[in-house]
This record gives sequence, structure tokens and C-alpha cells, in this order.
Amino acid sequence: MPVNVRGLFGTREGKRVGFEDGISHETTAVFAPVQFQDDFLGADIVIPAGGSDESGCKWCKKIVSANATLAGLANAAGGVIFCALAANDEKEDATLYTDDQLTFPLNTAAVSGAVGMGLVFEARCKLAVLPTTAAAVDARVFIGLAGAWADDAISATRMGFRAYGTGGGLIYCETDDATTDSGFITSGVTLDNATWAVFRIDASNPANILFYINGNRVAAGTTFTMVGAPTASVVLQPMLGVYKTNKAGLATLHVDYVRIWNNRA
Amino acid sequence: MAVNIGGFHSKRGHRRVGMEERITHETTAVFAPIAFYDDFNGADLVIPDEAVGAQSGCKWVKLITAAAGAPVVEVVPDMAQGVVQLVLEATNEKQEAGLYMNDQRTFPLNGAVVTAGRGLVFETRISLWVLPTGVAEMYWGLAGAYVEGIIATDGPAEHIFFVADGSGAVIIYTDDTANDNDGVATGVTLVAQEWAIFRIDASNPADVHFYINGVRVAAATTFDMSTAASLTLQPYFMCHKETTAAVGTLKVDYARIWANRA
Repeated sequence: MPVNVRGLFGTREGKRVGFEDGISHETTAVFAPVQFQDDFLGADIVIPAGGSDESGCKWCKKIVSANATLAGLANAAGGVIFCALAANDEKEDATLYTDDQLTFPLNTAAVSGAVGMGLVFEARCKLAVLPTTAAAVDARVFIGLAGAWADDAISATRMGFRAYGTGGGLIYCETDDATTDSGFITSGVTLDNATWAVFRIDASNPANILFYINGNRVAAGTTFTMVGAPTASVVLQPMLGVYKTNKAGLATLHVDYVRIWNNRA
Repeated sequence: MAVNIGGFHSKRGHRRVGMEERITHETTAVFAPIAFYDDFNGADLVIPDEAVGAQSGCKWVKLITAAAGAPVVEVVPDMAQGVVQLVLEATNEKQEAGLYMNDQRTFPLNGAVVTAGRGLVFETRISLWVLPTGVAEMYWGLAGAYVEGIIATDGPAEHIFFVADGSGAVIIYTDDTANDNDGVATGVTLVAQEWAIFRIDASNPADVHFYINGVRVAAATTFDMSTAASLTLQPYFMCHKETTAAVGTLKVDYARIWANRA
């Protein structure tokens, strides 16, 4: 890949100074007070189960059914986590999250939660197996931020990129602040099962959350708002995975890295 | 130490933007997509043993080979800025003390086109705290899967190593399974407890460059690692001796690796 690095100096909504790769639009550095990044490099390819978090590991896996799997992909260049559903006709979930430790602030206690904390989420992902089974209970993919994990629903509070069986590789955007659900809004971007993409959610303004794929804003015709949250000081966790309610559908998500930054609360 | 920080913008071969300390030439920041850094600070002094398995949250494992003696791989308690030490002791036997990523090779050297480099750069600050004696040797750099042995004849099939073999003289070994460079002199000899910063710039797999304290070494040799496509590597620090009473201690202050995405 040719190197094409450029600085970010107030050019994004979040207005944090940093650097991005000019070709992939991956953020390679950002100078924010709170910074989290994991590239999933190294020896530790086993992710502990939810509720059994281990010192030194920031992640857990939420597994529903023993047939769903989530782990580091052995010897994958750049370090990769995979989340996979099996073909069994059953409820399954394979989600990467921080064990419901909600530490990334969306807003402050002031003024109905509309005062943003500069929260931005970015991840590079691939739908290695496109979600299948066109039905209400089909296989689904989620890439984003959420509140505490909820069965069949990711979480009551969430903002993320979605894909599901009916759409195959078509990527949707969705926010739900537990009061208002935007529904699945198409991004217009359809991925195949071999293509990586950089997904970014700029939630620095909770009243107007912006979605980007490979540096291009998507679903721009919709105003995604999270200011109806029942409480101010909403804090979230990264959540990326695949799930299905009761079908034989398949889906596999590969996660290359996760980067999150924001101001201090 | 005086602080003298400079930015590098296309001044190095791999052309990533970043910052370096101009006196030591340590890279203090680099803005690359893949950026791994471990300074070994903190509470976790124990490195999990590869024989037991990697532990979630720890990027490293240790490898210990001994029958009667007790070679050591551990974070040194209360040593400033966090340091791992690899110790061969004097028991007359074969010993290994290694630090690596349990053969999880996640750092890309190249792509499907063997000469299409991924901007891979490895940097570490080490000290030959106790100089290797006799047949004791130490090697550090990037490698494929672990293979036991003397680096001149065995060791990982693919490797890009600085080596100290029985003394403080630093030499270079590379092997991509077709192009083998053994024992190329750097002209640098360390004394015991001297720290130095070692950088391997593998951004061009057909012409890997080596630096010690910011100065390119072994520049007259072309180190070609471009035989295998889509080669991925791991950081690798190893102290090894065949059956003798030789000793040596390698201390590692930090490891920093960066690359483009595959």
C-alpha cells in the first residue's frame, strides 16, 4: 500500500488533531484525552467469556450456544478477531464487547444529554461470511457502540453499522437511544466477503451522529440523534459481532482494529 | 538526558510520519496503521510460559529450555521504565530463554507480490547486560515460527536478526528460506550493561536495512527477504546455548513495531 499520510486539523466534525492514512482513511493517530485502541496483535488469541474477564485483557466475548465462536485468527496479518455463527438452527450470538463495562461517554449531565463528549468510534472490519437467511430472525451483524448487552437486540442503547440476511453485504446505519430507533437506514454501500472497510461513527454531536465508510459520509439524508436517552451522562462500550434469533443463517465478522477517542467526562 | 525531539517526514526509508528523540534516535511516535508498542511497565512481572499457553491480555510468552538449571525470562522488579531480562545461567547443559508471541505471526512483511513491502519496521532498546560467553548467543528481531537451535544453522526458518555470539560484537543474520546472510559484521561492539537502540527497516523486503543508535550498519550488504509471499512475522528475543557452562543476560527495554495494513 502506498503511504499517504495527512493530518486532521479540524477537518472532521470531532475537530481533534491527528493523522489519517489518505488512502484508506484509517485514523493512525489522534490527540484526544481518552484514547483506546486494540489491533489484536500478539500471542493472546483467546478472548475470555463474558463475566470471566481477565486482568490485562480489555475484552470479553458474549457467546450464546456453544456452536458460535469468537477468537483471534491465528497468524492473521495485522491481528484479526473473528466472530462466527454456525449453521445450526438455533439462537446464537458471538459478540466482542467489554463485558458491560461502560466507560466511553456520549454526553454530559448538562442540558438533556445533548452536550457531546467528542466520542468517535472507528473499526476496520470485513464480512468474511455475508449474513444469510432472509427473515425476521436472520443472521445479523453489528459494528459500533452500545450500552449493556441485551439478548436478541445488541442493547437497548446503541449506534452502529448493521448488516442482515435480507441485505447480504448491504450496510445499514442505526441509532437507538432507548426512546427513538432510527431503524435500518441504508448506507448505499454493499460489501463482498473479501473487502475490508473502515467504519467510523462520529458521535461528537449526540443530536447529529454521523456515519462514515472508508472516509465517505453515508446515510447523510438522515439525522441520527441520541439525545432522547432517558438519562444524561450516557456511557457506552464497543460492541462488534454477529447474532441470530432462531435460524440456520450464517455470518462471520472479521475485526482488524478498534479505535475510540473522546474528551474526559 | 537532554530532550531533543525531531519529527521525521519522509526522511527515513519507510516514509511514515512520526517523532524521534534526536540524541538516542528512539522513535517516540509513529503514525502508522499497525503500531505495536510495549515498554514492559506495570504490575505484570510474570510472562506466561508457552508450555502452559498464552494468557488473554498478555501479548508475549516465554520459552524456557533446561534440564537441571534455571534460565529466566521475567520483568525485572522495580527497574526503571520496565525491562524484561532473559538469562542463561552456568549449568552445563543446553538452555534457552526466549520471549516471543507464541508463534502468532501478525506483522506483515509483504503481500502477494513479494517485493510489495508493508512498511514493516522493528525497533528495540536492549542491553547485553552480561555478555554472552563461549557458545552462548543472543538474537533479537523478527522471525517466523520458533525453531530451536544455533542461529547459524537452525533457528526460525525466516528471520531478521541482530546477533551477539559469544561476545559483545553485534552481527546480522537474515534468512527468507532462499537468501541466507550469516554473520554480517555491523562494526558495533557493546560492552556489558550498555544500552543501544536497534532498528530493522523491512519496508523494502528486497533490501532490509539495519540501524544501531540511528546509524545504518552493514550497509554494503543487501539483505533480501523477498522470497515468500504474504510473509508474516513476530518479534523474537532469544538467548541460546548448546551444552556448556556459558552464560549471558539480555535485557529488553521496549519493543516497537509498525506497518501498513495487509
